Amino acid sequence: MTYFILNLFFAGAWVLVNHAYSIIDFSIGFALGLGSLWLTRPFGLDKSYFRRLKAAVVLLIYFHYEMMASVIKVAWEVLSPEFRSVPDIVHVPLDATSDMEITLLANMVSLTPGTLSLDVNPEKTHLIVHAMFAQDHAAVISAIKNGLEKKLLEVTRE
Amino acid sequence: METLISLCLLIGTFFTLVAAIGILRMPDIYMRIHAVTKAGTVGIGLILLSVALFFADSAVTSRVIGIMLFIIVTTPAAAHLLGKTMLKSKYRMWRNLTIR
Repeated sequence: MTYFILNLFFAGAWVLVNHAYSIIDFSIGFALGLGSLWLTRPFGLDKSYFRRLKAAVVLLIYFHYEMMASVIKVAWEVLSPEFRSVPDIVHVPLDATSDMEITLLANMVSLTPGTLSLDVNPEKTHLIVHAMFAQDHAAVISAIKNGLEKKLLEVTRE
Repeated sequence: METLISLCLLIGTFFTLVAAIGILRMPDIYMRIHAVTKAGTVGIGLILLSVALFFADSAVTSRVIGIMLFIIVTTPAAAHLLGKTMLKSKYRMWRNLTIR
């Protein structure tokens, strides 16, 4: 987190020094700041920053891909004459522990393939999910656990 | 560029239309929430994207990014609250009996 704030500070400094206030200049500053932080690795305070930044980019791309895939699935379900879906309520066991991780996961689950997060049980061990295509509960659970949750935990965990 | 903008606009309106049809057609509230959250978000996102591409101006683009952020944060929250209340009130959901 410290490194992220430092990196934002570098980008802001770059924008101020160059007196060019556009999103492109900010991105250049961010990239340069990232490069200079990369050089300071031998003194590293926060070694996980680069891995986590990479994981965040991977998560962002994966999330958008999944969202498009889910939209096409749902659109097909809405427009096709008969209903092919087998909706059911699935309890997904959680590896995410902190409130922030669970909130992020629940929001992403709501926006991706045929699943909608309804609730978390009081012990915060299971996410209650309404799945549209739940012929096989294990498949729904493993899709969430190995896809979104795994990639999310790579970002939030040290 | 013109083609790309019109394509984004068309696909965006198509998905918004799908969301609207979904509200009317889906058998129970959970399925309706599915249709609205997913198709609605992507539809609005694509329409906003075409707006940003059309004006190609940082003042417009920054607002578009702001609107997108708010939609991505608020839509799942609203869906979650609706779903949670229905689950708490022991709502009987629709099951597909023709396949099982």
